[in-house]
Amino acid sequence: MTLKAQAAEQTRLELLAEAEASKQAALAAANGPNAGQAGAAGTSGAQAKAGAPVWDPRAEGQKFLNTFPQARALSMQVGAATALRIFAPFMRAENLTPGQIEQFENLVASTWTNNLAVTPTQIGAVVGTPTLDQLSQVVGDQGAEAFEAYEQSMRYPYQFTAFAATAASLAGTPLSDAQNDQIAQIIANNTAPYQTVTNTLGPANWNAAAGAVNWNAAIAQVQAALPPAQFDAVQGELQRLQLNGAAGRAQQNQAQANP
Amino acid sequence: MNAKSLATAALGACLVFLLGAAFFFRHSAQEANAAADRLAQDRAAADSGLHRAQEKIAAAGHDIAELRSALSTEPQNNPAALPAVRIAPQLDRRALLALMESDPKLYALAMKVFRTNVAEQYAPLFRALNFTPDQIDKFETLSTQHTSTLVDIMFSANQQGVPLSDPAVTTLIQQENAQFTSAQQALLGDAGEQQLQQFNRAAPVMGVVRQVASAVALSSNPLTAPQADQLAQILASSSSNYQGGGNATQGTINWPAALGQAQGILTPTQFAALQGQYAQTQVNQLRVQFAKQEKGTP
Repeated sequence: MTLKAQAAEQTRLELLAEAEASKQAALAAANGPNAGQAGAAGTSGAQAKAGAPVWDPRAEGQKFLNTFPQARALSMQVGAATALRIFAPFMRAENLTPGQIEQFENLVASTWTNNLAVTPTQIGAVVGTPTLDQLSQVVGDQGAEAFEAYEQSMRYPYQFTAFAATAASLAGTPLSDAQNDQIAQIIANNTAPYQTVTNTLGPANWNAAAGAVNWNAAIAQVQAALPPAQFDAVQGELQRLQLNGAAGRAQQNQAQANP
Repeated sequence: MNAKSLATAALGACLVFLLGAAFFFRHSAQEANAAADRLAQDRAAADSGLHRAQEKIAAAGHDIAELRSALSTEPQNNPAALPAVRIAPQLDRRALLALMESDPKLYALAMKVFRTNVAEQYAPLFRALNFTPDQIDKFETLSTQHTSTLVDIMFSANQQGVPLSDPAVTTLIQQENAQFTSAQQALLGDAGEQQLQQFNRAAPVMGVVRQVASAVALSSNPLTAPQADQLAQILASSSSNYQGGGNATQGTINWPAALGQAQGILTPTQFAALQGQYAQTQVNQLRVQFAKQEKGTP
């Protein structure tokens, strides 16, 4: 194999690896618990357009677990990690004990696993939020109400903040809990009302949430709130989210114009 | 070189922009073509729907717009064949390109994000090379301008109805690649060039590192920069491909060995996040296997 051919092959392998990582990142971000109610969930427009057989994602999810019994334990591991990713601020705000955190993560992970849905291209949960009764048993009635409020108004702002926090940590200028809270609140304060959709495994809700944020205002306020070194570290992620939102909006407008 | 392979080379050019791998910019059109062609082969093997679409395109004249249109309807059975975009990971990259073509503001924002992406991705390299702010600025500018030029060539060809297989377009791409290669070599020097290649070989595992960092970012145990560097080194050195002189791709990581080493540098919460990442990889592999089994028989 020539050097050029090797380089090309390496490129191909890297593309495949990067694709896998990105795909997983996207799905983890978009398809964590609480993606909506089940039904004809996750059937993509692309799938329908291509004339491919239409799957029943939930039935396929159960079939998947039956076919690969080891997937249940793996799914629980993924679910626990996802719960931490999405709900860490809630757990912190509610001062959950280590035991409660473990119970909470297991509850979310089991809810996710029990409602696993599979399409030809995606895997995720279509019902990811435990019931209030289930939550109450772990975090109490007030905790369950706080969880509901977090879900409604702060889930996406904190998920967006997590990207900024990641960049800051990797740049050696980590954000404090107070700074994370401040950024999430800035994003929430600059978010217009938006509609969420159910019966989907895709990133529609993520795009809708990102598209509802006035990112110019939010970024300016974050800049005012952070020291320059930290802002330098996080601004790329915020701009990426801005692009995500703008493109998501444009995509939605095009879809509405050409149904 | 047939028109189909040249069209896939164009697709490769898109991937250049979307993945932000500066080393990829260095490839000649032929190299990009070879990589993209192999990618297309994987895709075709995994997805007969796409294969039919490609055949349709080949018969129809290899117009890039048609290529994009046909690909946009593919069922995406093979996730690896359709990279989600780091630059905007929730969006289909072809949809993003199409939007950029029709929206100058979006295009400008995407280029801004791309430049920031280069800055973030190559920050460790800049530190290793003791780059001055001026050199960093030049590196970022070169990469961004190169990407912008390639995307512009593709858009121009599309707007004029000229297929990317047109020799004039191919020549433009080759010229741009040559200019970029020359400018980057001048900036990096021989030693820097070698370090860039070494850096790029380990770069694929950074996706895993970022996932772990993201999972614990809002917890009481965020991943520190030194931990991230160590984890990247562990994952890369656990890759059989990397050990053999190739890229540290995720699929070639010896995960049990990597987990064993990583446990020594991560807190329990961080380690659980890494295990979750490994579990996610395994689940996804099972899903792909399941999808193949289920194909056409739901």
